[in-house]
Amino acid sequence: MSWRYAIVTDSTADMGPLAAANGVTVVPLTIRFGNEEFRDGVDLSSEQFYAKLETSPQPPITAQPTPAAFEAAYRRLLDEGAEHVLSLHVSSSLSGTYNSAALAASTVDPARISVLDTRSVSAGLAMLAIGARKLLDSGASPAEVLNALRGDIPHVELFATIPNLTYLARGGRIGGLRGMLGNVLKIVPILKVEDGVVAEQAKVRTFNRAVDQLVETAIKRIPAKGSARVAVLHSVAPDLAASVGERMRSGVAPSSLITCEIGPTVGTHAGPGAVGVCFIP
Amino acid sequence: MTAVRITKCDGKTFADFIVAGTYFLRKYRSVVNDLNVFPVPDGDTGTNMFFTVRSAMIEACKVKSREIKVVAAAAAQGALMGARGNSGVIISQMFRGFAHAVRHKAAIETIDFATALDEGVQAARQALLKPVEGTILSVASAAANAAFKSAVSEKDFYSVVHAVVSAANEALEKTPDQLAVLKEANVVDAGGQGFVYFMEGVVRMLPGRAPYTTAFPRKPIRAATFTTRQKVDVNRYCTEFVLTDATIDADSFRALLLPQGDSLIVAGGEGTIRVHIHTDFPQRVADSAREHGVVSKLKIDNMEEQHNVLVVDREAKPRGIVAVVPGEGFVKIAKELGADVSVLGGATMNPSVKDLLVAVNKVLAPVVYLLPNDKNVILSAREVGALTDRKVVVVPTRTIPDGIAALFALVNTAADAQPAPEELLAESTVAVSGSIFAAGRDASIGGVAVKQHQLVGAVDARDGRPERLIDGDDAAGIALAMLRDAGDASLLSLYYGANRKLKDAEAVAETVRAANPQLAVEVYYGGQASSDYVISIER
Repeated sequence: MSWRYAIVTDSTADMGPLAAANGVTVVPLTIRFGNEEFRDGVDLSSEQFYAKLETSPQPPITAQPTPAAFEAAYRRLLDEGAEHVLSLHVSSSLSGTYNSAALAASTVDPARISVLDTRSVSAGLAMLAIGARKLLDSGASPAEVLNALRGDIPHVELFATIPNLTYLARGGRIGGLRGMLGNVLKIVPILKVEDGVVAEQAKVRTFNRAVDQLVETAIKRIPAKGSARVAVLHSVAPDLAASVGERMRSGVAPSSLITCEIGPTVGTHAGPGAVGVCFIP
Repeated sequence: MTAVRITKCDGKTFADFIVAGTYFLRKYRSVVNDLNVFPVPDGDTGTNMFFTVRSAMIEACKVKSREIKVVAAAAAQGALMGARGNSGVIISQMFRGFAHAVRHKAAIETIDFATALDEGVQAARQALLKPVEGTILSVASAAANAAFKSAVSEKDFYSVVHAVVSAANEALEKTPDQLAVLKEANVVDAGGQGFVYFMEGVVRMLPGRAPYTTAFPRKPIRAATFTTRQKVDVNRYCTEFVLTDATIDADSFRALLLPQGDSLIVAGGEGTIRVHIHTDFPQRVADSAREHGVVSKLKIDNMEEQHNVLVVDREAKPRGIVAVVPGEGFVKIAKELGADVSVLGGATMNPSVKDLLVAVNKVLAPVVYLLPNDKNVILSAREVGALTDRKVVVVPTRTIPDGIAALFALVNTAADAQPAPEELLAESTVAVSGSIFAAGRDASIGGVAVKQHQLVGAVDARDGRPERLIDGDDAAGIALAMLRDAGDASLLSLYYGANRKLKDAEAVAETVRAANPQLAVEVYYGGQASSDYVISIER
């Protein structure tokens, strides 16, 4: 199926089957275990990735897509008849993906390709992409959609907690979080994506309490019931994600509720067992 | 009784009284320690009281003046700075009230003594949020009443103090009837006993002769026993000056300078006042003096030139934290949770007001959160604020698990936020805070009887429930019983003490995990000397 207006994102959006369903083209980041290189979601499924994460002697390393990969995707979409491409990407403070995309766009056709730094990641990116498709479906122009996205971006909130901090520490994406990695005491952080970077929302004693607290925080931060868009994200924790989703449903009666499975790229940093809530109030 | 009569008590005699009382308390402190009943072997009341009065004595003996107002004020300040534990703070308030009552007098008579003693007791009662009868307060009140009755007709100090000791002893005998916990343990109140010993020491004193030469067979050497001073890193500047054309009298000026340092001497009058003070803020002292006259002969000596505590190139932060912790392991935990300075304390050795003050002053922040983490340190902690230029926020944490919960709450606020202590305490999810230790003596508390050396659990008072003992076959059994006691729980933290090994704690944790698969069980090294395990159970 070809679209009049194409939407492109990268594999940090963790869209899975939601990509195809919403007409979103995903450009994969690459994951390398030692000398083996994989394209996220193309030749490495989430299932394979987490199995490898357990067994591989070498920790995975992620790399942004090359500008060439974006060029190829943009050219293909324009060739297939798209009038305009909206390319939405992971926060440029977390990854160089946005730069690759912007470079490719300027090479291919800057007038017909709009590249946006969403300042978010994973389910946040997924919700914005799905929101963009809905607006286009309702007849909005690409310029109007861009404006709407720019309005939404400051309101996207993402809270998550991870049971094991070693992946985050190893991945080096901890920035200001360095201080929270305790040596003596077991501390579970609640993380938030704020201003495009991962920050610490709170420190708690146990993972279960972290989950409770992040759900409570999310519910508290959604003032109007019935209108928020909500996403639950998780890595290999479908049951937990389902229960979190249930609690969000009864807590805020979201206008839409999606579930995103954290894929290889984000999973390299989060590890298995993570869970989070993302919302646009 | 002695034939010698003392009808006037000046500063010198008052200092002698304190020396005598201190000596007696020193001699019998272990008796007082042993009376300390709950939770079983807290055992530090005598030591705390002794250190407190010793500090009063040291300051009182340093004073050159013979005026009681000067000596009593110095003693009060000494007691306050050396106050350890609840009993210590109560004693220090008694000294403070006494000093206030004699603040205009060079010497006193027995009736003044009785009045001053009464004011001391009132001050101690006011210092406590909820005065409990059957404690040192009841004993001291009885003593003050007896002093008044006797002094109305009696001019001799020996007769009056003798009446005081008799009445105090009678009141002490009644404490088990006033406080059930004493009755059950079949002991009198430890603090009350300490008060009686102190007064008894005073009665035994003979003028002109040091008390220990006649009263006691073993003769401590005064210099070695009483006058060694610990070097401390507060009040490093010995500051002296003369205030001429003074528009303030010496007493008011003394009151003004008292909070600014220690070893304060304010002498003179008639427009000329001589001041000697050890302080950390010599310029501020001098500046505040300039508001009341002309400062001359200003001399400032750094007494610890080589000891630079403050690293000047470090930026002050908006907020700092001082935590009292019962062991080395807890020092690391507190540090990880943001504590700038930890003070080793715990059941066996409560830190003094001075220890806490030193710690607070080490923190490079204008606002310092002080976590006593022990119910017997809360009162001392509350005294620190008046002694430092920093704003001290006391979070009245009664146990170390409460303290860790409060640290978590604090670390989750913005770096410059100043949450109220109640807000921090409200964040706590601690359901049970307790410990497991070998009983120091045979005891029976709340229907649970334990033999000496038997392993027993104690759960601290919380949510309206009193402190209580928990029985069990072994440490794991006691931990499981505590867990049942707690009801719904999600986390049990086991902090093992200095006399336990990691594998002991892991074995206890394994048993608890096996019985409660849903519960998170964490093991940490606490390093406390007072118990085998500290246990924190959270909802």
